[in-house]
Amino acid sequence: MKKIIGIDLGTTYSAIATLDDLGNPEIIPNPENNNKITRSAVYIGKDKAIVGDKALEASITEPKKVAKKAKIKMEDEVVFSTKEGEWVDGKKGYTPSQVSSLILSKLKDYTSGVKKAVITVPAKFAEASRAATLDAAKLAGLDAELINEPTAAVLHYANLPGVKISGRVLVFDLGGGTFDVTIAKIKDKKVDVITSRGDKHLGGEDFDQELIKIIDKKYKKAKGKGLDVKDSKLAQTAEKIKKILSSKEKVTEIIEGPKGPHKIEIKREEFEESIDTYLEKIKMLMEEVLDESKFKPSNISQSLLVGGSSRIPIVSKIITKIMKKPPVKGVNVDEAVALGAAIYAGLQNKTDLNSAQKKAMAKVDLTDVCNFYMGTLAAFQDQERQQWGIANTIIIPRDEKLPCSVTKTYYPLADGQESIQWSVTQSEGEETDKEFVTIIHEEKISLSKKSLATDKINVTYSYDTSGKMHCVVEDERSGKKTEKNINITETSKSIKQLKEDLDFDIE
Amino acid sequence: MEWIIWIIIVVAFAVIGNFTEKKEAEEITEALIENKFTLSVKEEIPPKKTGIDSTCFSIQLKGLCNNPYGGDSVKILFYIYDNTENEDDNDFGLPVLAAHEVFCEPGSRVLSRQEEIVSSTSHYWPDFFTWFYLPKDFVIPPHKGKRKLKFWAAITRTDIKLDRGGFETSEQKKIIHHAREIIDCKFKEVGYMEELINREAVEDLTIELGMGMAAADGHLEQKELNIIKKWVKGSIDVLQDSKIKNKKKKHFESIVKTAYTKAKNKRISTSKLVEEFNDKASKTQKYEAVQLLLDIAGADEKLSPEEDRYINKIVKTTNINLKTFKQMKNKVIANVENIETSEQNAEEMFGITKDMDKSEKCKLLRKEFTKWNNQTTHKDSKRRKRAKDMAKLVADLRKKYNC
Repeated sequence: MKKIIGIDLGTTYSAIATLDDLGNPEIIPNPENNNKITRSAVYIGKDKAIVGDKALEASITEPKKVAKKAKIKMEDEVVFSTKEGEWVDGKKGYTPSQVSSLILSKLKDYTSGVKKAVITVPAKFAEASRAATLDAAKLAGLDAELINEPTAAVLHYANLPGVKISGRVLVFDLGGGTFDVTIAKIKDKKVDVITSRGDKHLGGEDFDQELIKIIDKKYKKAKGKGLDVKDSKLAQTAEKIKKILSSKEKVTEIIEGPKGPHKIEIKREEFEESIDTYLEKIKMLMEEVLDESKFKPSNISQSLLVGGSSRIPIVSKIITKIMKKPPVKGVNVDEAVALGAAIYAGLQNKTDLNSAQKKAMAKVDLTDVCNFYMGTLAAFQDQERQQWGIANTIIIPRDEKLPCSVTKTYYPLADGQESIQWSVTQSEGEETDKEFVTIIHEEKISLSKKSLATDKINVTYSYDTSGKMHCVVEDERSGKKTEKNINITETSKSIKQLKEDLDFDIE
Repeated sequence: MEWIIWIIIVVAFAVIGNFTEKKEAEEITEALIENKFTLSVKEEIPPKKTGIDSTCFSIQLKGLCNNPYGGDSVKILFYIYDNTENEDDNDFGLPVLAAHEVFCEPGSRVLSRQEEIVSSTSHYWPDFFTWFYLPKDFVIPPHKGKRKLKFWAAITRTDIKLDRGGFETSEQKKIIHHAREIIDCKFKEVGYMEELINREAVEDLTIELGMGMAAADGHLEQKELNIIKKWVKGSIDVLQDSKIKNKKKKHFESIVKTAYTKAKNKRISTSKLVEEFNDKASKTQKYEAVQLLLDIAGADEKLSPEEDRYINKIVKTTNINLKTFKQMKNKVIANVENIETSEQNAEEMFGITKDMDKSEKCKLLRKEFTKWNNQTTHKDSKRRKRAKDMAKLVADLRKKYNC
């Protein structure tokens, strides 16, 4: 039977889930070790690639050949160099899409007969990162679509058997590399996403780095010489300490260094202090999501935790302080996103389900929102500076329910204008300043010969639920229409070209 | 007898008819006086629905707007003249210019509003209505200070020809009705005649300010000097006459040389310089100078506390809009690689003032965080890095205030 799957492609760990025969989501474990989550690390050898914990083991002997954190590099024009052992600018090496594709291939092999896949991405992922994720899926031979991680998580929570979650909820998703906070409304199995905010560079890996700094400082103080802070073994030790500090007040660990072993003690308090800048960012994003949705903490019925780093005790304290009540615990925070993705995969591919699965999916519904402001650049007269300027104008506002279609009218600057420069812009804030928006498409459009300054140029953006945007620019005088699909499923690079470099046996 | 009755009836009709005609004529005259084309100008902040939140002149009209020549349309014209030097209000002084193209006479910068409307031989507006709101900031008189402005509106034939607020004698007969209102106003910014007279002096002062900016962090770097050179070149390139160009080039060379020596020897007196600059420069020139200073600040890929202090000092005294300045500065911040910040410097950069309470500071910082955090997905990796640094800087300040 053909399977539909959901994949949580994480910064540090990834997971794959599917629907069982009754339509309940379930994690597909790694058949080699029965682990439900897989380390997002890839050892890239001469003719083979190893994915998961084994790759991390290999990093002890060949650290430069293990690629990690591909997810947060998705939008960067970097490659992983097995010579330098890090992500570098340049052409010789493996792109984040290629490295991610190896993880996806490994996960896909946990099962067979995969037909359709849904891959999760942070809500804050811009078009470039989404396109790169889809490149990775294609390289792995997956016919995939994307869903935002907090949306997947809330779908999972809404479908938990025997647990009643309803009303407005706050989804707090703190993973290995990214953080998202979302407000959604749950009624029965229907989910309406209201708004999301996030930070693409905030997660457990950042906390590990702070712990490495503490360990290095303590070692240096005792032995007079510092540690190799890029050592992968040290990174693993830091991660281990972080996990222990989630349940214990202090940890004692023997650290091997250039001047021999040294016993180091780290208190939870020290760790919390070291990550307080990140915690402050978390607080601000929570405040922002509440402000933007115009809800007070009392309007939110429950706070739901997602992501491994949400286990850190100070995180729960912050949520409790802001939301005035503790978050919901008891769900496996590492699996929620993948399980939600599997539900979404079922929802999107109902024809491929059996009757029991169809019945289970019958009541499930999802409304998502546009996570960015989509607009265009237009000329305006700067009243204050008394000169002409170019400003960003918003066409589809952020948090607009999907699908949506919005038309705005613009005018030529003068009679006889021959053409207009049309651009599609994307921004996270309601930006007017063109310097602070990303231009994702630009095109010169000819106007009718006898154009007047009063002629209407209607610009329509239509955004569907799968993140595809259709744009139409209509010159009302001539009736001429210029259409463009801003389609994130378009690959950013030649898949063929990317695939040629990936001739590996994957372990 | 019957014919007598008929005569009486005819006479009676004639008398009544004559009486009615007279009454109608009287009524028309009365109506003409009562509904004379009238202009009323009020200084006010327009209602919220207009979306304008600055002080405006509300231009109101009433009365006759007819076309006695039988056409089905007329033109409404509007101009403002500076009558400060004119004793007779019937005279027309120098026209006032507009800061915004929407209020410019076609083909010139003279402030004007023109609109063609449908009319008839007896068309009139019985009551005052607001024709439009004219933001006071858009009005540029010839000189700054207290000015006597003559607001003038007219109903004319549609084929009237105008040129910079003036009419040929032959065109004057096309004016059907006209009205005026005299208002005294005070203008802080220099007028267009002063701008013309002071242009060269302001350019020289701008160069000196720029040189002061380049030297603010203690060393004059070639990259910074190149920005000043580029600005000078831009000012020369707009000139068309080659003789004037050469003369200007020589003049600028000498000014740049003098300013460089002064800056190198730390002899630039910013306070005096700014005082003179503010007195002579127009708003546009002030923004041009501030942009130059910001470009210089960002030229070496870093913004030092000294540079930041220098530019803030100048901006505070120039009376330019601080919100606009912040937007201009943010562009520089977003593009430089390094910002050397002290705590006080960072607070100033985010607009934190001593009179703010804790919650105001926290709220402001969160807004700043949102702005910079949104930039962490920017296409340009340099911009992303800068945005990350700025977001961290905000978070650190929030920690300090225990938000």
